[in-house]
Amino acid sequence: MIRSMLTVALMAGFVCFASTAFAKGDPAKGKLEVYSCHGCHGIPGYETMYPEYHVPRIAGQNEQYIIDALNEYKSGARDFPTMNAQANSLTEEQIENIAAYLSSLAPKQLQKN
Amino acid sequence: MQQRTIIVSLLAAALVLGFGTASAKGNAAAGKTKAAACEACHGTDGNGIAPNYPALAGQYQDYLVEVLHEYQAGGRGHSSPAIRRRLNAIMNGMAAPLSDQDIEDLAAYFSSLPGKLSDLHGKVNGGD
Repeated sequence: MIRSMLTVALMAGFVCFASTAFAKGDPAKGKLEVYSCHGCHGIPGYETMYPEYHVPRIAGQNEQYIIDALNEYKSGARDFPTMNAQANSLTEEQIENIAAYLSSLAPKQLQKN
Repeated sequence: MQQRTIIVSLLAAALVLGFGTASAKGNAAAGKTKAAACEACHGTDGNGIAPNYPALAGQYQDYLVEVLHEYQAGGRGHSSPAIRRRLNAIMNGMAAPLSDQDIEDLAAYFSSLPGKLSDLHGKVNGGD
């Protein structure tokens, strides 16, 4: 019983460690790679053509979420032709760099938009 | 003449303001009362409790509305290309029971919170 609890605890520790180690994107490279994002995500108040809604704010977004979202556009779990095409053009390393850079843009103090 | 211009301007301004409020259908105060389930992952401040959960605080309201509808559609198993959907085991389940009004209210609430999100302008290399 104690042994199995220890095993579970060790595994949990490993998972936590693995997930931290996994976020290995380089924000400096990401800063160069977000150039193509800027066309739509860089214009405050910019809206999609159809249906009309604002292109989301992504600067400051959480790192692993950006990685997951781009992979979901790649796999087709998310539908949006522009983003499907963008994500398909990115390598896993580029995705990690972009996520590292975007998440690094979060301000220290929360702010009202 | 000048007075007439002023009156017309005031009327036009009132009209614009009227439309502005009318298009924001959500009620942030009502959304706050419906947000408990969201807060388990997205945090009581709406900024996400871990890096795999997105920050919602300060996100565009209409984007949040769109996305919740897409998660609903994903959970209903739509496969028509005419229907926009997102597949996500957690969010398909969370969005399923929401009414259109719930979605509007939740989006109004989370978009009103102070957060860390911004547009990307001025943050690319050599960009403006």
